[in-house]
Amino acid sequence: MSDKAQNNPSQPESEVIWGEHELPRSRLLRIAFGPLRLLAQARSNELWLHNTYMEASDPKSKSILEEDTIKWSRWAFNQTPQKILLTPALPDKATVVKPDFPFKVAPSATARVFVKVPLWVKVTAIADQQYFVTDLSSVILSNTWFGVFTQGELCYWLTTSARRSIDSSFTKSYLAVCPVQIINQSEEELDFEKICLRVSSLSLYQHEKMIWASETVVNYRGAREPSNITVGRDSPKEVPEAKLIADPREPAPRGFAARTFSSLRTLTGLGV
Amino acid sequence: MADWLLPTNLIEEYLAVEGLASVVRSLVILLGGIPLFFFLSRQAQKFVSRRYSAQQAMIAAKIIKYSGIVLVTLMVFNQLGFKLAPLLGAAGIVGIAIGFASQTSVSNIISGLFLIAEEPFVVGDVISIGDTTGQVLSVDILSVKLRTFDNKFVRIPNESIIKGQVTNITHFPIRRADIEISVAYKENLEKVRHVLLELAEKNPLCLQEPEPLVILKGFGNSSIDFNFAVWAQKTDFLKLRNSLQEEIKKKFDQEGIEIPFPHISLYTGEASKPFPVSIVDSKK
Repeated sequence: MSDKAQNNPSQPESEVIWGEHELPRSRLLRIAFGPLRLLAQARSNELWLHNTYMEASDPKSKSILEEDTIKWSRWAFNQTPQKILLTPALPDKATVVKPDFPFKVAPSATARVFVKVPLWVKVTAIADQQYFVTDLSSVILSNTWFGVFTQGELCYWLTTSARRSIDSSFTKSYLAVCPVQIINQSEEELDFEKICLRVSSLSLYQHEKMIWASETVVNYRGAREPSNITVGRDSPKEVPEAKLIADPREPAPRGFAARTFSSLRTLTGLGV
Repeated sequence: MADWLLPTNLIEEYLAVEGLASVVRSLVILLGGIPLFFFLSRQAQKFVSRRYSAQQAMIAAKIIKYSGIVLVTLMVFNQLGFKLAPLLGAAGIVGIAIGFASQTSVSNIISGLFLIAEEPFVVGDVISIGDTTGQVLSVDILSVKLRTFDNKFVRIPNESIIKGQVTNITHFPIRRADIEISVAYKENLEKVRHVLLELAEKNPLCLQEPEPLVILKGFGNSSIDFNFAVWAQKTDFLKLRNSLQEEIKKKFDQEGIEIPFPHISLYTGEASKPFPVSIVDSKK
């Protein structure tokens, strides 16, 4: 059967429900999760996957691919996979979050902000064994450099409204809410222009339709000192009854020191 | 028989049972020791490269290999009955003589030691020396070996590297791509700037920080010239440069922004009046 015949655009695309998904015989499994569009199919002991991203302004965003030029990724097993298991995860790199409207935290003051971070979908094939095949970001994330020109780390870049309270904009299923408690322990004003969140060490919790990440507590000790970061071990205090749905990608020590606020300050040298 | 020739009885004595035994022992040491140290050198390289850089693995391997060769040689000489003290003295004198005769080689060896100690580049880095750009394969006693991107093997003597300028392209984790862009004088410069920055924001290979810059370089003969400076991880540098230039052309075509080619206006004496041109026969 050709791909074109299988790609009936009138077929509904499911909103991701975390858990197992049956791979229908001779049909494509279609999953829409934010801008991510995922196609899956089992073909003679193989799992075929294809993913693409749709922009909100794109008229085709309601239907997945109508072309027969799909580029598939394939995984071979001993048996034909019956199901795929979808589990949520946070981004695989640290994420630099830039608030739409920067703010300052006064010396000795504490601020709690809520950051929306796009979720990733971990895909596990269920054939004769469970085998993790890939993980996909729900949105295309830009990269950024956090550090100085000679050393630093590659991070994802997010421009978001770092809200001081939860509102209806947080209910999108492909976004996780990351509560960040900032404690300014220094005697200087903290200029909160951007923050580097080590999201790979956060767990995920579900409460009703919202997904929450564990709380990050950042103790700011001055511009020249690395901040002391503590990752919460339980669900955030806003949702104490939330259920743990995903462990962190990389378990981190409970407390660690890392650069969190400062980044590039040097001139680029253009025109010199 | 002349004095300088070995007397037959001496050879016979040497080949007596004890002499033969020491020759056999020497051969065993030689045939067993050299492969053993080569094997240990390779194993050390594998082991060190798992935990440390390729450069450190290479140095560890070379130390084991050369130390092994010296040790085996000394053991063989010892077995053959040579006294080591006069031998080392003679080696020193011979060394000085050879050193004078081969100053370039000695200079290369010394330069090689400086290169290993200073580490301006390590195995795996991409460097430019003169007109040659390539990936460092090894930093050896006499020379540095490079693989160019069209897969040529280049050997550069250490001395010339120490004396000249070396550019290490991959030393730092991020690199800036400077893209030269020209637009026609009629274009709205704000619009051009906005289009370029939007392209940089949407390209996932382009780093958002250090932030992309659009610098107005100046007013050229036929165009207004910009420098579009974007940053990428060193591994993504070429991919970003290629993809962004393609995207710029596509977006400029969509937005109707003209990339002009060099042109010259001819006048017949007065700046205000153009050169008169009349078409005689349009069909031809």
